[in-house]
Amino acid sequence: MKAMFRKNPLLTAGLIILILVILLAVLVPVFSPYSYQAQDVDRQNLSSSVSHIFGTDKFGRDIFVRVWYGTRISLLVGLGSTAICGLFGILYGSAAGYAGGKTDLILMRLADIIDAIPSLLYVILITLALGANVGSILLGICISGWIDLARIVRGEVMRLKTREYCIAARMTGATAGRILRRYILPNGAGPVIVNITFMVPKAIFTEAFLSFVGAGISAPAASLGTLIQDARSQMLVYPAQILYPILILCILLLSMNLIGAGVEAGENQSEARMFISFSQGKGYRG
Amino acid sequence: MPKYIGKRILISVLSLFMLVTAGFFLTRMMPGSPFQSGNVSEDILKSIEKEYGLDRPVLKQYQVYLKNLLRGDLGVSLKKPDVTVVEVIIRAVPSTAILGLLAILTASVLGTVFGIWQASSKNKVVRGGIFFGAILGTGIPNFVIALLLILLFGVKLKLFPIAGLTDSRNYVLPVLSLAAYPTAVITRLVQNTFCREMEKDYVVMARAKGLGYRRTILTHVLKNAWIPVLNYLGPAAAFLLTGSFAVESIFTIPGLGREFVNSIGNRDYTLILGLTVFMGIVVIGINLLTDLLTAWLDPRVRRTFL
Repeated sequence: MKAMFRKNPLLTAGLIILILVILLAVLVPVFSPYSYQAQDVDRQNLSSSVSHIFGTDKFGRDIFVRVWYGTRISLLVGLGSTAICGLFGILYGSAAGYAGGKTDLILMRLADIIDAIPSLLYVILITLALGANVGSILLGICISGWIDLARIVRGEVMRLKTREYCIAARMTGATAGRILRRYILPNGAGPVIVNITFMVPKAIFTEAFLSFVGAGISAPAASLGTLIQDARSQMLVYPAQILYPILILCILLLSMNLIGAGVEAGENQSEARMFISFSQGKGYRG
Repeated sequence: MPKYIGKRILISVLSLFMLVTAGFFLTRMMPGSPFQSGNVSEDILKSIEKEYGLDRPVLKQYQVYLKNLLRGDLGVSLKKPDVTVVEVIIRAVPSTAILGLLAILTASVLGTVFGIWQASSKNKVVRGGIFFGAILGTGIPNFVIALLLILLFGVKLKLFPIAGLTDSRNYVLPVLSLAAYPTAVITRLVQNTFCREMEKDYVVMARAKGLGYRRTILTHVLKNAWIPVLNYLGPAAAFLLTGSFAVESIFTIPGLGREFVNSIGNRDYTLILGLTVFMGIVVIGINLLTDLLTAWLDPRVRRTFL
């Protein structure tokens, strides 16, 4: 374990940052004396101080609490949608890949049909129709969020299902589900895990984007996107109010992307060194 | 090839049909009547709804919408009844198209240069720098980049204007904020395929017969390294269109994205649906074109497509 982290600085750095962010998002709203929605007319637009670490917004709400409260929503959407899309994508891809033939054809064409349309359009329509809450955002993301994963899983299943050990397992009478679970998926886990890791930041981005264009979580609850949008009206006067949520959002997304890059690099160990992308510069000019 | 083209077109038509259907019923499900505003009496509300055909059964309305759509009629804006949705689109398309083209052009050039640079550099700092630059580019949302660019170049340094589209300097910041993500993606794509191609026999052959490094890349490797980039143009179009929502609102550019965000704010359902359908057509069309182009360039693609 220790060796793994030493060998993979990307993954380690990403995980440490992410754990810090999660801790703050869970603990700050619990221990802070301020609530995310309590307004205070005497304390509007304060700059940061000991009592208000990030200052206050135009309604006198404490930005520090609101930012971490927003991070909670981001994390909820990111992890929730990843769990749903991940499970569905694996099931769908396994079914298509293992069945093969006509079933595979129909299932994958269906995925193509859904995939041809930018998912943000669906998400926006759904949040407008079903109300701006975490549930409808999750639903919107999950409509097309599983497709890339399903394609990858299908490819892996197709590649592995004709291997000798799978044929042997079938000859001993193992069911399709057991073969998939015990023999195929563990061997094809690499690319699947990489894809799942990148789902989280994508979903967090979608949620922030939605809130930013005005189709996401509505007031007084605030996600990071809403906070950025709210602070935009007085961005030129109080740039700090917009920079804090931006900073946290970027840290969150970057930590996830670092983890993804780290997992990806770890998967491509065949390159014999970490940092695929570093080591691949082999000085071809030579 | 004709069989492949037929299948791709069928899938595209089905996608579009699904988008129109889902979009239509979702907009009908949206809460509240667009005409509701405190002082309108029941009778007037009823008569307006009748005029727009909103009192008929939903399935009937759906039929009418489909029929009109085939004739290229997307209805009228509910908030501004004197403009049709098509007029709004025609007025908004040029700015969005110019921005998008400039952004994808910037991204293609920068991405190719960075990708090859990262792959062929012996300098660890250069490789690491481009690698982390690409992580930043894929990680930071475009609206955040746009806001940061405004704060830095527009407000602090006062180098570029931050709103409108009056002269060419107005394009710099929006194009940069839109191009950041595609640049990062293309960098990674080019770098990956470049490394793979460089190991192949034809490169060894070209080098062995005495072709210079630059000439080898330009005449042989780039052609192959560009195929994944071509494939990416479809998703890039989708990204640029949806990315324009935020970037155009931030820089107050009168394009499709800003119209869309405004129509969300106004709950102008026909406009929302019309713009969605139009953007769906554009993205599906570009996806279809790039897919056909790749299949034409690389026969392996169409053979593996079931």
